[in-house]
Amino acid sequence: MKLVLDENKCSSLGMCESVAPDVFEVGEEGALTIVNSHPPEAQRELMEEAVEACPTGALSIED
Amino acid sequence: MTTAPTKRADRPYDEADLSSHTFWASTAAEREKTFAVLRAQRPISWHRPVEDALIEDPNDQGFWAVVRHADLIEVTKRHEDFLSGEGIVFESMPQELLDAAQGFIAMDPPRHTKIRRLLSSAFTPKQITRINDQIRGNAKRVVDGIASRGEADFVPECAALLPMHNICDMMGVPEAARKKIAFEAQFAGAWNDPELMGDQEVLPRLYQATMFLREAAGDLIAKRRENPEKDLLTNLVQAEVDGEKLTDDDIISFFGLLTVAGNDTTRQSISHAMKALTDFPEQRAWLMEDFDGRIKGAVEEFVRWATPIMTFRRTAARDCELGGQQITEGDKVIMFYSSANMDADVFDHPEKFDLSRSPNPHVSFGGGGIHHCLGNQLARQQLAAFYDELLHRLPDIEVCAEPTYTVSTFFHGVSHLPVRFTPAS
Repeated sequence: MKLVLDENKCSSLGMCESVAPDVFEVGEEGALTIVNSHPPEAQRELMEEAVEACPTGALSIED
Repeated sequence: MTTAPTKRADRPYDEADLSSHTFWASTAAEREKTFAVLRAQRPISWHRPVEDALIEDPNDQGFWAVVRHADLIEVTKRHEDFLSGEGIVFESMPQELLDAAQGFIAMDPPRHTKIRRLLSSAFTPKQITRINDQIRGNAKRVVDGIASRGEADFVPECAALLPMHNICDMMGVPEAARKKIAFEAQFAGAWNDPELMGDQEVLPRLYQATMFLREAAGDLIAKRRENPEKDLLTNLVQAEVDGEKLTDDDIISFFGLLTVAGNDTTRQSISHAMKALTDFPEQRAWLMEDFDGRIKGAVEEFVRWATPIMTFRRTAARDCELGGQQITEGDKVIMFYSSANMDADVFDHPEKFDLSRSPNPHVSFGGGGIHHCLGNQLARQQLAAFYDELLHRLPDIEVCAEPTYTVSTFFHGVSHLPVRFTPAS
């Protein structure tokens, strides 16, 4: 599982971070970093929730 | 089936009234009767211009009303078809007021994207968690203010004070300036309210409020340039976008936006929640059985129930289709959040205040898209912290007389809400 971020769409709101703070982080400069872009399969449901939570559709999962 | 494009001037107006002063001066329950009919029968409908116009605008021939949950989400997400840059409130406004008061909420990409990222670092989940102690401290301080008295006017003495202190702490506004700033900020969305306006003329008073906020912000910015501190204002003064520093005018308009958006929204949610907790005692009892486990979901229902901002406007960038209607470039499109939050296609028994509602895909923070509420985490945290403090310290607090609602096409405001309780220390 690979997390993909479309930086053109991301507005750094941090909704993903509120779902999975270990995986996503909006930094001091306001840019979103995916701390771990290959989270374990066990976290798939949580990652789907984070992708779903993004209001701008900037996140996706590639298998 | 799609209808053929029509000229604005020739388009017949829908028979339902969403435009009169009477409609906006009635109650949410009354307005919902009209929305229910439109959702069921005419989900995208064309209406005459709003009655209480701010300026004479010969181009303002009416607006499209978007009332269904699904359509509202679609409009918010199609930001290339539906622009914010021409204004985000119902009424046409003088351009200088728009520029001065609405900040990046009334901007479109690419400028919106850059500006918004600058601010977002102050509102991330980790940052809000970091200031949680401060938020809890302010909740305690506000409850301290009424606890020994046994009665209070809940809006000015509680609901308005909590977001005021929190947003001012974040921005670095000193104590002495807070009340006046919060007071002036109210005019931005409540110029239709007779109690607030008295016999003052609307447009001059709006300018006055805007000028006051600009001057207050200008002073604070000058101080931060001189003496940087650890607050959002200092971050903005130091920030660069594409190698360029923000101008004072840029920062002043964020200050205006954050002041309005930060004060008058959470304030309404806190107030409507107090009323609902009084009206639905069984829901309150259910919450108190396991407060820590249930408050997170309860807060979602608080904000659905309150829908603190009832409308946002977009303007069509081009001829396009929406829900089977042909929209013409330049048409105003108004999204009715209070209607979408009562859409039975999405919510079971939307008329019930149900703190266990799950999922709760309300649109009170927006329908998604690039303008989704930046302060949503801050608002959620404040509501949870405040009700934790209030309901544990003053467990029998209840509304004891009818609320006075603010007249506005924008804020779902409560002006007064008398409460009583057994005094506590």
